[in-house]
Amino acid sequence: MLRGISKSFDGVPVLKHITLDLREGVVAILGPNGAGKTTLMRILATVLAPDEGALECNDLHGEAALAAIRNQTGYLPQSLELPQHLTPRGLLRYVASLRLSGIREDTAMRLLDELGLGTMADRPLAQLSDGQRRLVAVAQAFLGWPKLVLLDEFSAGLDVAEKEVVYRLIHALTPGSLVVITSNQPAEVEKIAQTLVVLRDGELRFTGNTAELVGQARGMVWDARLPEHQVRSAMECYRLSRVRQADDGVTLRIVGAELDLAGALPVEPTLEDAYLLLMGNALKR
Amino acid sequence: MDNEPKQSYQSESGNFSDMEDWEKDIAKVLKESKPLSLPPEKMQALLSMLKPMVAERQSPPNINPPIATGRMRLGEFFRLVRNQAYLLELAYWIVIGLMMVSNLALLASNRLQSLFTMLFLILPLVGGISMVYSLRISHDGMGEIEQASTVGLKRIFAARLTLIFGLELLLALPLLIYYGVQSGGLVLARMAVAWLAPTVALSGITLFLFSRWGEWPSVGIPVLVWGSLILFGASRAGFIGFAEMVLARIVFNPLLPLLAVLGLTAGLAFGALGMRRLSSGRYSWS
Repeated sequence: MLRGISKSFDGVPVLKHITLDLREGVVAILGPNGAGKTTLMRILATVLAPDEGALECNDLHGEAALAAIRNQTGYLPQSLELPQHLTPRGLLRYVASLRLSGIREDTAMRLLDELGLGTMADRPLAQLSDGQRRLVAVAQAFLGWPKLVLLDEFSAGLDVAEKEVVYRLIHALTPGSLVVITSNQPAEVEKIAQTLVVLRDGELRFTGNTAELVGQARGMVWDARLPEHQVRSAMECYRLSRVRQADDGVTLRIVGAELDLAGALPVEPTLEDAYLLLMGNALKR
Repeated sequence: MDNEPKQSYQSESGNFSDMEDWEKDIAKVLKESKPLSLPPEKMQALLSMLKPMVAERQSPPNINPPIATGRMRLGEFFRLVRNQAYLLELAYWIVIGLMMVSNLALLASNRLQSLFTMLFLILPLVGGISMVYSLRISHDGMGEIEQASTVGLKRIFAARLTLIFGLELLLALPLLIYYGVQSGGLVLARMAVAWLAPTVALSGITLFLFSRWGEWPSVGIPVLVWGSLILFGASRAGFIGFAEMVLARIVFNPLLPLLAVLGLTAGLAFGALGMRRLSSGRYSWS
């Protein structure tokens, strides 16, 4: 539980009075770059203290809450440079020693196997690809199947297959656990998250499930097929979520409450449409 | 009836194309099966039999061992110290190994006392630089993982300090033993103080500088200050020889205990400030 969290860096507010009640399942913190996602994640991971507000965990407050969170958290920071001479096995062994919960080596190896890294367990990280190193970093967050897993931009540098492996891992963990991810990709979030937290400029813009956010956009998303010469002016006037080239013109997906465009048909919004709508003029193209 | 909600085991699209094979099998069985019409008590009994199985399936495959209490036993602390050693790169171990071999070789030769003394004098610098090196590992996200762990940064720092001071002691020991055997307990004690106080002082100051200004100032300033002191001393050695002069200063200087206390106090104070700054969570690591 985050209660009234605010944080500034050098007088610039990054988070403003954020209150969230996070329970089981997959929660995605969505927002454009600079929205405060990583700061919020670092506060959740107890590595950054808020200027105002507090973290609570199972009715515990203050240091007791921080200790309780640390006892059951696996955390993947956004930017993580692992010691290159370590092997995946060595890294997991080290992280296991930090958890003090008696995680056995075979548990760590099984985790590496599930991520497809079993055969690379004893290779130095320097010899692995960027994607494989990122998977090892993800693995350490899941080590011991903690009750809270925080993954900050976990998919950066992962290919489609590697992302799928992580999605499977998240699904395996979520009954009874909480996984919090950050992303600026609504399409990715749609695949795995049950709850969305949308931030913009450090403010909480939305909390709820995907269907609720999509529901808010219903009646405000349109498809319009335009001849090539009208596309530029339409792009200047409207907020677009998609542009698709066709033989007889260009189909634009337009998001916005009011639309004065002949031939535009209302369509069922996607999460990306709803997200763009929520982001407002800041993302108007 | 068309408006009836789809059964939950069907995929949203109504077909099973997005399911795994085993899920398709289960879905097929469920689709073909008829709902049970059991009396409530039998249904309850059946459900309570099934419940543990469902719970087992939903649990992650490698279930977490009991949550840690956060308390650390001595054995766990030494395991943590050992694991810190894994984090140090081979190059570091090679340097430490070479210093140790040089120490022993010089000791065995019983000559080149100036070199031997020089090695002794640079040990506090080695301690300070090792400190920066070991803290550097915690940059770029690793520090955040460590801080977010049950063990916490303070105990990790303590483990690193233990490791570094252990190595320092191993490096200093041959010389301390040498002088202890040659000149007796008092000289040994003064030599130990002459090693320990600057080592603690430089390590503490280095840690503080690192916490405020990062790697280069934290290495550069101690190297410059301590190196200048050594060179200044060497330039004033004159005809009696560098090693003899250092030894004489250590053994006969009446200010040594006072300087040692000052050095230890400064080192511990700066170290505590640096550690507090690094582990407070109010400052960004990266």
